Amino acid sequence: MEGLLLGFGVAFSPLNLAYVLLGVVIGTVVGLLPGLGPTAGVALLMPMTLSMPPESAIIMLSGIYYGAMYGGRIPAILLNIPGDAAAVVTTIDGYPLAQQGRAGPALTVTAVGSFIGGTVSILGLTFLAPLLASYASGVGPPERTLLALSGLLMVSMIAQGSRIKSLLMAVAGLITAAIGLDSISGTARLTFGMYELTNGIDIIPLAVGLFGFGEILCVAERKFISGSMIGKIDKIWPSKADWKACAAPIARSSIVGFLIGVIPGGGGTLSSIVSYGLQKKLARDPERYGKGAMEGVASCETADNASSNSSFIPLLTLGLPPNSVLALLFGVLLINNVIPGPTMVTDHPAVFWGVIASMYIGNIMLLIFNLPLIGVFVQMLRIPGAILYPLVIIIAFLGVYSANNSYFDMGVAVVFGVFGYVLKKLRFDLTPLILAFILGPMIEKGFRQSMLMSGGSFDIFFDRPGTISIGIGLAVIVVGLMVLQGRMKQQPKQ
Amino acid sequence: MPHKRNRLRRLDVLAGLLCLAIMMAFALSAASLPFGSLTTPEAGLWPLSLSLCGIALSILLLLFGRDVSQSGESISFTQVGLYIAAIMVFPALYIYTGFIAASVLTLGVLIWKAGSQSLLRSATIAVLGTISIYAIFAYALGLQIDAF
Repeated sequence: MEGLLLGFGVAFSPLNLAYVLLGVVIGTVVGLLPGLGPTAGVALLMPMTLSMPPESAIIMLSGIYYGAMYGGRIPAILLNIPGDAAAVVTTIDGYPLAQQGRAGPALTVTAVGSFIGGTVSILGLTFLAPLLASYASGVGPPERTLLALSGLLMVSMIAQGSRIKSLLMAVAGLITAAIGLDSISGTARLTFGMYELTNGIDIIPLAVGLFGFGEILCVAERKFISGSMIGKIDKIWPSKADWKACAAPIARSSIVGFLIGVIPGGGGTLSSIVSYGLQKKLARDPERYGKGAMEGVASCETADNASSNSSFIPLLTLGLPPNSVLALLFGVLLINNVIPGPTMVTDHPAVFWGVIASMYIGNIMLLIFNLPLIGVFVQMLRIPGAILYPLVIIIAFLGVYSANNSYFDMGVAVVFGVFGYVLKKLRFDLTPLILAFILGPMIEKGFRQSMLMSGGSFDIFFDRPGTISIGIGLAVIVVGLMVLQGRMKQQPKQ
Repeated sequence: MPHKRNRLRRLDVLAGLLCLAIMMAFALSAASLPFGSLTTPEAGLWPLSLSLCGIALSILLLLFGRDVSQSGESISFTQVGLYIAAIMVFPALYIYTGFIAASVLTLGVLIWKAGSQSLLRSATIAVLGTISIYAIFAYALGLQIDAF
């Protein structure tokens, strides 16, 4: 309780309140722009946070993350275009509702559902995170290495598309992280004779390139979407019957979303699919789903937001980012000399509790924005992408340059931008790459320490109680998720 | 359908070849470094192990990769080409002309050509956009930006 009070003290400072506000507004706008998801939004804006104190930086970027999760549902319902991958399921019932003239009530139900799901998750985060952190603080290098590798493996196994490609991306991320000086011997490695690479590749040009420019290029290859086809939203308040029908799905989806968010690789998309599938299975009249069922949109949006908040648990307690956005937040914390993990709650309580407290505030702000001010955000959909995206490119370049005043970093961003676009065209999921890039140094260091401890024997990863439990946990979760994912992916299609 | 499957198979062969080339380059670079032993690993052990894993996975992709289908949405090559060119040219322009000229030119051309706006409207947006971005970054955020 003391920690949470400290957090509210941090979050309620005028500056941090302004950053929460800015974060959730930018996040909502990023979410509603078709094509730009939370990862691209955070990647493009992370350079702006470098001059901020760590707690303010993380508070703002977190706001962008969960704000984007809220915003993604707006174009999904109004235009049948998901603002991010997690909102794909929302289109199934959201757009038919809009066609029936019920876009307003659908937006309201999803806003309230998102608020409830988010709040349930933050409550879980408040009580669970310190407990998990105190448990995790006792583990040694073998467990830490195995945990990081397990997280990476899990993300790769349940990533979109081919598993071979996901594993390749994980290896590519680990190799990219190895570029530069070896931390022990100081030998330059994988620099190909380029002096600028001896310091390694910075997270900012890498993230802006892969997720910012790469996404913009993917958006640019299609005709820009016009928001002019959005009809007027007259009535926003749902009927009593709607609320009654959605109450139980919202409650269920809050818990489902919370649980899936904690799992590496779980995230918004999987939680939406699982939650929608569960809701459809429990429904008395499943044939209504896909034709405009209010419970359908309520369940997937609630789970989506619950999972985005609970995904902070592995980051803050184990130092394990479960998805690409949190991998970027991990990078921002490292830049600010804050190491996410079990010791964060004791070493940097203001950051740890500040970000948790700011989520309560941010969630309330989002509810306010998404009920009376929904019309303002809908108007933003009318801004032509043809004007917006060029401006975003210039801002992103300035951000990359100003991080280190380096022209080389701009070049790195260009290379990774084109590379990211090509990889996307070849249907690679980039999430394992960024996670591996972030976790790479930790895995290598842990591996070396473990080898030193065991005299070069790999048995150290298999004969300690901690490593055995991690291995069993990994196997159970991967098998369970793969079965669940396979089943649930079929259901929305039906 | 067989035609579509073949196209996807070709995409994965292309992806496999690309990854194989990159991983081989990394492996060659890592091979020139000292390896040490498992108890006292040197600089080359970790990157070489990773590169070898990457090579093995690339070969697997090359041999067995058959990705799932994708939507047949049409692609505007002119538009994406313009964006790629803009992303490549902006840093070079920035180095030689400074931010203002680089930004006005890049924004103007992108909005005019890729955005199908009139020349006057594109130029106006480019100038106003550049001034606003410069004001925010240089004055509000206090970042060091070479204007000219």
